[in-house]
Amino acid sequence: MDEENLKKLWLDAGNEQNVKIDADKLVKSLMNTMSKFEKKIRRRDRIEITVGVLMIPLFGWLTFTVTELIGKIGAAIILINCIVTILKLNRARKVIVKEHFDSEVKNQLETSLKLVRQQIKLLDSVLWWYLLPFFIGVICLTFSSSDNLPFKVIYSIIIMALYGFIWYLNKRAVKRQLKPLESNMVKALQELDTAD
Amino acid sequence: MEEDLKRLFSSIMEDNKQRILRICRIYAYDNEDQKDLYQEVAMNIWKSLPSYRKESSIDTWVYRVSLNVSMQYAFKTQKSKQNRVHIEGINIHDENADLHNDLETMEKKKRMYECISKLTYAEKSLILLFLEDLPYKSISDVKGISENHVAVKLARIKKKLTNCINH
Repeated sequence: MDEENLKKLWLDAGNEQNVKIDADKLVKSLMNTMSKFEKKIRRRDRIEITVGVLMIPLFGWLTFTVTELIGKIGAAIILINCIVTILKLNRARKVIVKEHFDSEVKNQLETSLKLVRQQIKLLDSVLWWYLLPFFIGVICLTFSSSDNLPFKVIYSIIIMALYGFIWYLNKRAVKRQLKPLESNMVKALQELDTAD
Repeated sequence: MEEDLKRLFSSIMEDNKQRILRICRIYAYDNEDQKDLYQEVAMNIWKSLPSYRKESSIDTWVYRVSLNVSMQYAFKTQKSKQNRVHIEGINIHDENADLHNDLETMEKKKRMYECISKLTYAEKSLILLFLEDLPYKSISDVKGISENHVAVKLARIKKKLTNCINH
């Protein structure tokens, strides 16, 4: 089949489905959708600020009022980690590379790849900057709180299982979603870059 | 200002609606995914419009947005149905192709889509710009690679595609 016939076949095949656009309805719908996204982001930011506002004074207060040293250390670890987490997430949001879908395909691919790699780095390291410090802080506080050793042990096991599950979910998201995405983008970029 | 943007967006969507659909058909395989992808392209055209600076023609610009969104969509191996956005104002329906085509033409079209589906993501994006009858300079503008590069790659992809269709 020659090129002209192939192009004709392509354009013809594309016309087998018809698109009807109701421009007014579409614009209204898009504006509503964008507004919902923005409200969702503002809600997320409000929740984070509220959690920070509640947890920081609470653990600050515990750091000074808990009498056992191990409890003080635990509360202080949680307090510091709350602050570090909020700062880290804010910083990640600020340095996040912005996608511009109207840029050249190669540029957009490079940008998207950077974004995906940032997300992988954040999720892959969640054990060290998020889960482990909170886990250590909670365990320290637990073992300072009462003489009921069986309760402390059972509670610690439950907390460990919970944090382990969160860690597993993050790792799974990286493996199932982000890594394949990264691999597809790398392959596409390599193809664009090779001269063959 | 907003009214100007709305008018420009409406005219872009009306002028490019079939073009966008042809691209979506390559990157989304079933009707539901095609509609989902079409909506994402429309949303990103709307979002990107304020930054359109007329350095390129509007057609080139639309191809860039459509391809970028479509490739991102295709790259994601898991698409959560919960995150699908429902946007009103877009209606995609099948024309009755059987009335217009003989059996041989229908077979050729089916074969063409099958062969295109076997290409890699990058090859698909290049060949569909070629099939859209864009000159190499415009393809180079959309892709961000040199014209020479486009020519060399397209020569290979065209050969691969026609060999596949003819066998």
